[in-house]
Amino acid sequence: LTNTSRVDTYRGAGRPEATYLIERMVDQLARELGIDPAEIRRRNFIPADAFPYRQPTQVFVFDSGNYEHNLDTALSRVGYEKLRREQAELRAQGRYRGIGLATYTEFTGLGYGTELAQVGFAFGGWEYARVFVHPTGRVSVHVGSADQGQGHATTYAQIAADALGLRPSDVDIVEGDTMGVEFGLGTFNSRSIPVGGSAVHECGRKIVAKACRIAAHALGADVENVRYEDAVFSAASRADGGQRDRVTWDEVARLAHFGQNMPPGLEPGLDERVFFEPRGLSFPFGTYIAVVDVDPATGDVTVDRFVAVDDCGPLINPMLARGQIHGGIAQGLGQALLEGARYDDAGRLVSRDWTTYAFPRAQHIPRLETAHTVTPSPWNPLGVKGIGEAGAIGAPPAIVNAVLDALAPLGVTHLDMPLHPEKVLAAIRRATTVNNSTGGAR
Amino acid sequence: VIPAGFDYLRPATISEALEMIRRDEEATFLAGGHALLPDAKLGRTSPATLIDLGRIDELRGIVAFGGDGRPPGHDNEAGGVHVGAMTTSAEIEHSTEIARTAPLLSKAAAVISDPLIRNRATLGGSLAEADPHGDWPPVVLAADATIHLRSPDTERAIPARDFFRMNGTGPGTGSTDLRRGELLTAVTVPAVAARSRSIYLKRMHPASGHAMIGVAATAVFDADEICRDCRIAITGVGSVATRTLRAEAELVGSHLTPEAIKNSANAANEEVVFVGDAFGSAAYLAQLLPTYVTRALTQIATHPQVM
Repeated sequence: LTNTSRVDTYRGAGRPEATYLIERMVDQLARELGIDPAEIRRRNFIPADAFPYRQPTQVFVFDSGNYEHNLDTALSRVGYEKLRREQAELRAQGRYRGIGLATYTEFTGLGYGTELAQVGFAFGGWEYARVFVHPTGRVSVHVGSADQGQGHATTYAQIAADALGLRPSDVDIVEGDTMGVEFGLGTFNSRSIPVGGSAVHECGRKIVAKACRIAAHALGADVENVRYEDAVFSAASRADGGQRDRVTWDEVARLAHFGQNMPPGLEPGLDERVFFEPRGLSFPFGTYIAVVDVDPATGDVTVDRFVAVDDCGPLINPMLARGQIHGGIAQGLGQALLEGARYDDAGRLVSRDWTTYAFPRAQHIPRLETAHTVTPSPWNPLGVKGIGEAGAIGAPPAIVNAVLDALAPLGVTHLDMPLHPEKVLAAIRRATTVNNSTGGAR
Repeated sequence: VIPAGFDYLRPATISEALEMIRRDEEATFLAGGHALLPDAKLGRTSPATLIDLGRIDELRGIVAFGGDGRPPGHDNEAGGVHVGAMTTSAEIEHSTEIARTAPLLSKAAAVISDPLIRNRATLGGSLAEADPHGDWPPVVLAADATIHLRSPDTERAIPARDFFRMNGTGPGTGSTDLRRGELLTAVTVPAVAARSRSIYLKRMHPASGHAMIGVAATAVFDADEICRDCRIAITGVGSVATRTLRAEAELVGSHLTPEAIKNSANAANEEVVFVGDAFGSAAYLAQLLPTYVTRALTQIATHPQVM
């Protein structure tokens, strides 16, 4: 029985916890063996040529990865060797600089039904898209995964426009409205772009295939001789020797709806639906490096730099991807340093509103340096993996590893999140007392 | 949360406001609202009548006064600046008169919470509320300001050091000498002396933006850099902002050497009764305060360009 507040999963749902334990243990191992934290990770990576890689537990197959290249990109970006030299100099001056790494792998894009069944899910991993073309040529796209602020409408419009040979401004996206969108599993597990986006892509291809048949019929050409580019269908030559060799997207849309002269056996209209299911889960990965300073007089942790190198396959909209990464890192920083439900001695919740519950504000967050390596997934037609939760997964262990790295000269080996200054200062003072009483032997 | 119902009055003059509060036992003055409204929202207070001071022109404004031709009622030989109670923190932050005459106030205004709050919250409201984590109380203490209070019958001018009291009966969450039916109308701040330097060093509460610790300090030096006068005031760590007189005494007559600063910081800790919260226990605050006093005084000692 408890009167403490209920908790539930949030961004990352299980992967932050697993990644935190793994990345903290790897750092502890590195420390005990006297191996650099970057080096011990490099030695234990699944090699790039082992993908697709079946996990020893036999459940999941990692689709694609190139972990060492990603690590090297992050190390080079942050200037790792130089940072370590600076750290040694600062330590000699009694200052506490820490460099923390986390190399995460997570799973996104839920995901193939039988695979899901093995880990207890009661449903398959499809997502729904409907693409239909109005008589004017304008396109409506319905997608079953709803936007929670990610900017799906922009990304889906880009995917649809690419598949349809149109501009994103020719496409209207409808999502999150049960009056308009017929089906959907939803937005979770960073699945909207790998699964929902793939559904839009596949559906767009179905539309173009049908439009090509209508265009071929109108041009009197064989469908295999019709080229479609920049919203124009063209045929090399007419079989009947007539004049017309081009027909526009808008004209085909009108022909499809007027339906007076459809190819034999083809029903009128341009309206397709797809339930897309990927061939498996996609496994994005990345290397996060935090550089922190710890003030030994106050226990304050300042995050000076944060480098995040993610690999989510090809980027469809780099700015929106970066927004997801920024938000996730801010959230992870909050978990590592600030947040948590607090109770007083009488069991009353004292973190009860925004003046007593500390979530990260602008002043807590350094300039975030983001970059990407690109390893496509073979499991979906876009080659993409999810990026919505990575920041919240990789940031907490990177920051906590950095703080413990800063305090390593004192012999502090473990602290539990959140790293409130009072907790950090207590650890510093405890370590200092122990070191003094043992003649500083560590 | 929807607050309980209340009557709303909007006087145009100080006399009108004083008459309104005299007639209604359960009325409360509303200034910038940044203490009262959150409390009302959470049901911690439910005044029957709000008297909104927002349209009283005579409560606003920043006016510098000098040795000659100064307005009546101000007796400071060196001159200074008169700040109406309803002046917002943002107005103080951006005032050139304040920057010239009382730069400590400019510096403090710039670190109060965020720009949105600074645009609404007022100097008078903060002082009357005397929140234990408020930024203005230690600043007016260190600036040696005078608080002007008015009731229908009397007018009082109280030095800031007598205004904040642990056993006061004022309406705020801290405690003040403000009496029922009285209105805080203005603050006068003496112009900084030549060769004086000041600082407001704040540790911002990560959630509320209030001062978890705030150290306001002013020191006046002679030509040999010997400290001739000094005021140190602390907010955040106790129940009300306080001057630390023994910490000040450690510095007067000496150079601000690391040794003198250390003695001063240790003395400050003896003068405070620490009150903690979920983000810092009383024991933690007691560990932090000497560091903050030391850092504030070291800034003053080592940065002669600090005004």
